[in-house]
Amino acid sequence: MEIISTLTMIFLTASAVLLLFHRYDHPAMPAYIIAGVIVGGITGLEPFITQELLNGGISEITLAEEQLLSLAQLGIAFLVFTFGLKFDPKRLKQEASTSLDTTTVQVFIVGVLAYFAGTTLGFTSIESAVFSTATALSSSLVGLQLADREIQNELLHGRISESIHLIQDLIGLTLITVLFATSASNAFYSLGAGTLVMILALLLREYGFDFVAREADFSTELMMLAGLTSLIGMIGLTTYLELPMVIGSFAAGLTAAKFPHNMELLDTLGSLKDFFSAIFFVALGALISVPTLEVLLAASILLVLTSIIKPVITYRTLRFQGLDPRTSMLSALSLDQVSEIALIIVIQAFLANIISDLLFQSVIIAGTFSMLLSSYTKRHEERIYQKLRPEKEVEERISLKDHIIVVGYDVQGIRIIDSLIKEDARIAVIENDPEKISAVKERGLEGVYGDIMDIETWQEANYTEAELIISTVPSMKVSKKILELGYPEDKIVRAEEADEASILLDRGAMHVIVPDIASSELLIDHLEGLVHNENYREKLRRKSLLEVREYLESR
Amino acid sequence: MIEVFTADLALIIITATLLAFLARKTGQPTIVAYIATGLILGPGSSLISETEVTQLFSELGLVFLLFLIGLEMELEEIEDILRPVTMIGAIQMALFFGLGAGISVLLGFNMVESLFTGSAVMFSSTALVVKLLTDKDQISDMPGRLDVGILLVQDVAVVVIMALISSGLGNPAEIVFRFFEVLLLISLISTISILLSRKGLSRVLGKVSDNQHTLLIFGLAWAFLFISAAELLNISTEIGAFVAGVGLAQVPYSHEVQERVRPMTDLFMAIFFINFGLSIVPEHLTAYIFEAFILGSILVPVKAIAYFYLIKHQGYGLETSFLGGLNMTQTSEFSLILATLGISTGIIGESLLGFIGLIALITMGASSYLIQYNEKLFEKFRPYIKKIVSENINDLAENSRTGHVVIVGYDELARNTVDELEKFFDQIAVVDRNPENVEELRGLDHEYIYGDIRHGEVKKSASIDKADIVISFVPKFNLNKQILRMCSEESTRIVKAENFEEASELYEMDAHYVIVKNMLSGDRLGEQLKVYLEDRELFHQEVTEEKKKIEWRSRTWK
Repeated sequence: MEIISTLTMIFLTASAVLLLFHRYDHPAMPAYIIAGVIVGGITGLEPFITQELLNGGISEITLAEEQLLSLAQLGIAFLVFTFGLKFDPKRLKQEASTSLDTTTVQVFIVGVLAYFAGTTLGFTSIESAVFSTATALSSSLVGLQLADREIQNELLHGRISESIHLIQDLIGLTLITVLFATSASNAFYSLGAGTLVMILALLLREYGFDFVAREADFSTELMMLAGLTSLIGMIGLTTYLELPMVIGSFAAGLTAAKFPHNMELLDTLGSLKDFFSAIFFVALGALISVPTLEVLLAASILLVLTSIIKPVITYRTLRFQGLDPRTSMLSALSLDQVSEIALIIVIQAFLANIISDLLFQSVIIAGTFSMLLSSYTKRHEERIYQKLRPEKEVEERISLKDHIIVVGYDVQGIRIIDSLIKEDARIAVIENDPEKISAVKERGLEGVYGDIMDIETWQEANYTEAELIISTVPSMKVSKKILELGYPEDKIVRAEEADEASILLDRGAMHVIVPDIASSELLIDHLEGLVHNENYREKLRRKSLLEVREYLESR
Repeated sequence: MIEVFTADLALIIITATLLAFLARKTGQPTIVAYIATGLILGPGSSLISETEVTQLFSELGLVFLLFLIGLEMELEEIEDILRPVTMIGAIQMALFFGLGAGISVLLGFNMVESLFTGSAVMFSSTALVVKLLTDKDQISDMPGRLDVGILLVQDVAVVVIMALISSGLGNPAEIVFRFFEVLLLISLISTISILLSRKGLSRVLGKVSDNQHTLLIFGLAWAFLFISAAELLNISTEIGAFVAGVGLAQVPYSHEVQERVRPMTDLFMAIFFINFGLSIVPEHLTAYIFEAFILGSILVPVKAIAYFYLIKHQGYGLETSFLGGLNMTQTSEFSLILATLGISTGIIGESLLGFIGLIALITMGASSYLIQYNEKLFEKFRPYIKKIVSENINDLAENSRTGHVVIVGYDELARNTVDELEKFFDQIAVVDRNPENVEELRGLDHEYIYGDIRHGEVKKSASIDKADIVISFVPKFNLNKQILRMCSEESTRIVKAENFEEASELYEMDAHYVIVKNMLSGDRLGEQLKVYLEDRELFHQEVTEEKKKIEWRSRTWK
């Protein structure tokens, strides 16, 4: 099989580049594209996209190249399918109004700027539209991958990035539908048809999928088949309706986007997606040739728009909505790349002859660089923030003395505060989430809204006269910062792992909450009870169940 | 533009899905559904023939399957069955070759055709047996291991025969030379694979082991390397994949790679069987229906019986021998490949392909059901067998245990808890699938099972359904729901949740206690703070214990 040698080259090169990148913690996508450039350079794979192929003529590509293209197309289908699968409207809701406003403004401004830049560069209107799409939308795959820990730890800027990314995915899909319509009236038809397809998907999700899952009876094989049927069915539907294939893929993912089934499907189809999408991105890279001056110009403009102007606008908008500088900047920085949806748009547009080779090349090149840059800015985000942040106005100090400062009003923080209140302690809460600060104030407690890394926040909380600081923030950076404060002597901070805790203890923490260690003490107590006492089990269950319910109701 | 998503492909997938669901509902093996899909859409209605995509996938399917099998071959584990399976494999092949050829002569075929048929039917189907046994969670039981071993011996033989046929049947000296050449090359790349993996691969994989995605790509790169090498050396790609798998199996991270490759293999194999059905040409089928049925109906029981005696002769028990034999009654998909090869080199005619293909269909169909109900059949036949043969060995050591604790997942919380648990329980089994914990867990006293609790073999090994206490430290909602379903009524069930909504639902599903990530530690600190506010000295005393634990943990953990 000739395809074997092609695949071997692809995976070996990809692995080599990935290994190199791994040291710098770069995301996988640019690695594949670069691997593709290498592969393309070695084998001259690139020329197989010839003009004849574009004009629908009989091409002379080999069987291997044909098979490769098929695999790459499957890559697109599976990639967008997983977008649909992960699309959870609930996560969208969490910072909905903030994100929606921000995204609208940012996409609009950046989009318009880019459009004009495009026309200045000599692109047609469609090309400029594609150009501005590439700048305005940010990459879910890369952006979310980089933000994983934050989202996991429920930090505010993580949630904001996530919902902005999701909204942008939707915008991207809409744009794809419109761009591939052949005329204005057709655009309306396409939008309408596309919306109907999405509604169909949502209906199937509500009413169809549970039935299917039950019939599958936990067989991963059957679930996978069901997922594939959905994929191919939806793609068939959209092809019939003359809509772009990616709409079908996304809709297919949407039909199964019900938790927990989507996780099962992700587990099984995930490997398929990895396999095919790797091939896709490598193929993309293989299509890049040595850039001309014009390509470099266009790419640089795109890069500037994406990596500098877009974050700046996002930052300003978030600040305008009342968020603190740090959250705003960290959120903005997580959005400074080109979206892989843009890459998909670009290759499909290129193959459909809607855009020129020039635009195609510049988007891919700029896209790759923006992703690399993005991981760099992520790793150094704190430093960047420190360099760029504005001066903070000093607010009035709170009037508490000998108080306990609690940092973070989350699950842990709330329970700690509950206990402290019972002991009549004086409490001040520092938080950077405006909603939580309102909740704090509603409870009648002193709340300080600000960035923990700013000394002004601590001054406002009158830290020099406090008795104790307790931090529930799961970030080493934050814990270290707190320990650097001169006062008070007693500080309790948080770490996720024992070795981090040990470091913090060395730096002067009076005590470190390692949730897993602390919890285990209690858990062991419970287990002892379970072993020695017959009724303990039922009592424990009832008590815990009630606690959980109470907590849910009080929210 | 290259059309991947053709109507043909859609039809194939939709039909396959419907039939597979139907098969599941009526208790049939899904392989039958796939072959049926191919038959219905192909010869049945001449709707479609193999598409390019299906061709590609089914070729990849066999390759990936052998990679996966190779991944399971941890050398220490196969050492004990190496001798028996080689003996059984060799004898069995000679036996069925003779049987197949002999009956063909009796049925009226000429010498060349009969010899060819003999060599085609002497194999059993790796794809079918591995798939069905894995589905039934019997792949790691003794019969399963023996069968896989025998199948691998056969695979080596297939390679050799294919090499012989494709280089044309010249004079005997050439054949012998080629035979040894192939054998040598296989040993050569196997050694390279194992050496390379021991020296370089484990370090490389270690660096990327935390990223599932990258691990898969690396695994695939490794596999393709050997696949290409095999192609260059003119040995079959499947053997290359197998050798790659074996090399990788010696490295701890092989399990992760296995897990990632498995779904791909499932899909490709499904298409393989569909393709198998599609590739049957109707006219060829009808040429020798009668003869095929005769040979087929003889082969199935004779294979079962022969294997039974062969395995038993090597010293295994009744149940192992019976099951081991029953699983192997079919002929292999390789018979079709051999036949195709034979046609292209002019040794046999096209109608013989139909004959061999029909035998494959018949025996595969029949054996799918035999495998599906293998244990029940054993129960039925046991009294009769006992009368004929004496039983003196029971080697299916049932991993039965009761009164024990099963722990799923091994995080920091688990680490601390397990230590204490040892004071109250002797039998603790830890099930964990994180490769980073492998070394630590292997070094501890209690039982350690590497894998995903949802996988059949792991589930069985841990006997989770007979456990007294089950604790899941993995905060994955879906997983914990499944775990709760696996537990018995009387067991004590403790699981972990990310948030209160999940906790509430898990309580609904009869969890006894749900660890909500930050709730416990917040409670604990709350208690400690009470002490802090009242008696500073006492607080420091209490906290010192915990701090000591932290220090100890941080030192031992790295």
